[in-house]
Amino acid sequence: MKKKIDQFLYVLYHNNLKLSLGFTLLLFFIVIGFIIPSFAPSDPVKWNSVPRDLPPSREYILGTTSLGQSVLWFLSKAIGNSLLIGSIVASFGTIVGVSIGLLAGFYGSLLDKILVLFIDTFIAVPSLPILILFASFFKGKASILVLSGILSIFNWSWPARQVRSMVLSIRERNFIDTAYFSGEKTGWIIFGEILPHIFPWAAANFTNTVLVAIGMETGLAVVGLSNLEQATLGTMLFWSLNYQAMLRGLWWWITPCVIAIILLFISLFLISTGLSEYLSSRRSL
Amino acid sequence: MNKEEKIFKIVNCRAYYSTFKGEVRAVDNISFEVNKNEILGIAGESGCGKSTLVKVLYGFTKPPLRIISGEINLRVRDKEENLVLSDDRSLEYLRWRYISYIPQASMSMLNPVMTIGQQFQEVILRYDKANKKELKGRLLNYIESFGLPKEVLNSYPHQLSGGMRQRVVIAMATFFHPSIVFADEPTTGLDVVVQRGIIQILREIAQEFKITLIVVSHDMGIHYQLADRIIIMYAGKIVEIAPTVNLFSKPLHPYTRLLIEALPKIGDKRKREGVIGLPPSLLNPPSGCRFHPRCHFAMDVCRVKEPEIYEVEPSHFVACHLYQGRRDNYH
Amino acid sequence: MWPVTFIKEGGITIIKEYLLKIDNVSKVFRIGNVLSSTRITAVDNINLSISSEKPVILSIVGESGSGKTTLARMILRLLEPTSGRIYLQGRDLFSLRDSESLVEFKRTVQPIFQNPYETFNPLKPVSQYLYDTVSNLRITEDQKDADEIISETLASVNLDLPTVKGKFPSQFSGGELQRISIARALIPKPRLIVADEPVSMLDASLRMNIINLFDALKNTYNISFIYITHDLSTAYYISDFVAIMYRGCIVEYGPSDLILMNPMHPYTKLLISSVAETERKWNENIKLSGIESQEFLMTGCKFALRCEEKEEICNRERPPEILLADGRMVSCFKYNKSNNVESLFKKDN
Repeated sequence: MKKKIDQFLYVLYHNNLKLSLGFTLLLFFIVIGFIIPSFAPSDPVKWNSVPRDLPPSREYILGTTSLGQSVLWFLSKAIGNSLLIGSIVASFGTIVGVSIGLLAGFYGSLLDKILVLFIDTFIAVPSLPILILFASFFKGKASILVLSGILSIFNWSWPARQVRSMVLSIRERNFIDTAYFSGEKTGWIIFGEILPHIFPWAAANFTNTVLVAIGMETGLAVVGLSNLEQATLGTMLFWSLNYQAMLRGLWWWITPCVIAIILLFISLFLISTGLSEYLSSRRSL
Repeated sequence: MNKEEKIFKIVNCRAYYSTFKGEVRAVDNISFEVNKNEILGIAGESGCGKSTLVKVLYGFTKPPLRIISGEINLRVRDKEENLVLSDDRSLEYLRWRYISYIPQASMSMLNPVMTIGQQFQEVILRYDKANKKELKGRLLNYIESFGLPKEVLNSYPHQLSGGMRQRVVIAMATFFHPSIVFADEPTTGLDVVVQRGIIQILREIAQEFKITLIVVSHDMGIHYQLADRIIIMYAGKIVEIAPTVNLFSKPLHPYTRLLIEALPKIGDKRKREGVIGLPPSLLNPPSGCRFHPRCHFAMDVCRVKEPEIYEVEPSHFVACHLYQGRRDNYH
Repeated sequence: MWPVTFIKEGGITIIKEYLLKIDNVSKVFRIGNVLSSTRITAVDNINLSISSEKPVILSIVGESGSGKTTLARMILRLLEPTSGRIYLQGRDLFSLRDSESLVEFKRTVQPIFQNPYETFNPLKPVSQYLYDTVSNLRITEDQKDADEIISETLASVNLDLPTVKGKFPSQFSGGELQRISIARALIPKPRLIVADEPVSMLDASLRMNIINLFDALKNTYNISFIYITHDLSTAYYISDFVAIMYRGCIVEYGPSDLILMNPMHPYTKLLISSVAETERKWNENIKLSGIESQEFLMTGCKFALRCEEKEEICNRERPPEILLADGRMVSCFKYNKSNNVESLFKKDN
């Protein structure tokens, strides 16, 4: 076990600057998003828990908002929630997408044709109008979970398609025949022989989907279509824009949020590309 | 001794790979010369360092492969240049026009998303500002001289058979009539008849274009049909060098004998054994003579002292303690 | 002309005399899309059989594009023929549907593939396959027995379990990995092993080791081999029978000593003379083939474009399969004269 951890850390920090940088940054955000909020003196979202519009000081490190919330605690909660949404969407998208891709690619014939039709429909249909429709249906009361569910609808079809084409070529390789002649059942061949080859790609795609999902939620929130009672990076932007934070000089409300979004995206992007690079260099070995 | 002009002089060359586990000594103190216009074969099992040697000679030394020491003296247009000291720009200048390299798998040299004709053009226009129309005509004739139909120029690599791809790659590598061509396992993966055709082509162009051809292969049969002189490598070292006829009629090193006898022959059903055992790891090669663990004739001195290479007959060099006496007599 | 026994078993008529019987098998591929496609007949009406009496090594010799791998995949039930049937111990391969029969099939026929590094999943330890074969093909349930059986098969390929256990494919040399692949195929003690170019990716100096191994296994374990290769020199060493394939057709067939020491079909002669041997240099120049698909679509003899001895009729008509007095079959107009005993479209050994 220790050897595996050592190997993991070696891979992470030895050759690949992108991976190490991205991963360190992400770790930083995870701590801020999930651990720090538990130290908050009160519910960060609750309005008027602190005096309004105060600039950063020793008492309120990042200042306060026009709604009477501490920017510091709100931001950390927002980071946590955004990461949560991203993870849920990425998990759903990856699990469903990979499974469908595996089945379509391996079985071929009629099942494949039906699944491909299904997949292509979801890829072709424009996501934004439908998301707006769904979001307005929930009248801004959708919980984090429901929100994630809605966003998931559009994040499984791309992995399904990619995985399917990967499976189509892996299926022709001789070790699949060897597994067959070793008496392996079809289910095991799909999940035990083929899936491990897909897994690296899926990991990079997962990270990428987290990024995309956070982006989607943020975009929806900024136009007021997310759950505005929750703290996410998007809703933080929404409220600060709504209260004309920049015009009124409340830079401490909007700026940390924007910086957090940028850095979070950079870290996820670095991990995703770092992973892809690492994996393609391994494959050529 | 020979009055032939030497085009390559390699002196005490060492090139190692740095890996997680240590240094892989793929080319370990190699010295030899290459005569102008000869076809030189480099033979040995997989993992003996022959592909690395050729990469080093061509200048393909990227990390983790490094040249540790030694000289590689190339004679180009009456100038001698030590390639170890050359920078990337001068090496790049030599490529395609003076030295060419045919890699092991033809697909690694061909771009899968361009047609053959486009790839030819790309390479040629890089070094020779010719007009496109005239180029097309020249290309057509050139391709047909390799026995390839003209449709090849409009085809993508995956549409061609392995044999045709290999001919395309040879055609590309020799377009500028370079003085030296390296071919790394040019017939591996090809069918027996196609292999014969490729060897035929290599022989013809070497003669016609006056090319010095250096061929790497694990198959002694190929070397018999193609090479004028053969170098046998084992575990990063040279163990025997001789003209082909001499090598096959009187192989001196025990390893050479094993390599030759391992080849099956139609009409001869005598029991044949392949070479037994495995080549040693280049990370930690055996002490003394690296072949001693697999050698039927190993003596005590073989385990301790590495044999030096000496000329025991005219043009016939061997590195083996069995011939110490002969060496002393010859000199 | 072949003796055949008809047996009624559970209401089905079974032909039971041969271990393997390939009966008029063809495979046609469609290349291209809906709008424009060509039909390539990769395997064209093949008839071959292996008798059940004693173990036999049948070599199928041909270059790439001959259809030999397609034929191998059909024998291994990985690909269904477009027409014709393949019978294994009397039962039509493609009528086997239930899991019981399929397990029985895998206990009877096993493959060895060309590229040892592709034969195993690079992400799994190689020994895993050995244990899986033991348990999935119901060799034994007991762990200790499994270890013993695996050790035994590894020993017959000159390897041992401690050396092999737990390691990944990249940790072995090509020769070792191929031997492990053979060991895995031996575990269910099959009656037939189909080896598709098993030594072409190994160094020339190591090939005889594997070839000798096949011969030893045939005698020790009573296993028949279908040895597919493009290299006649190795086929010469162990084959009892040889079938030369060109573009989907068998052009010459018979006892291997006969065919290889005294070839009759021009293609067989070309194959033999192209072996890179170390005693005679090639003097004549040969012509290599052009675009493959052209040859597939020819109406006459498919070898006509490259044949040194061709006649006018070769371009127009397909040569018949001719059975000669010495026991061989050759498909060539040169021999379509008074020399032959009778013209037949089936042959057996």
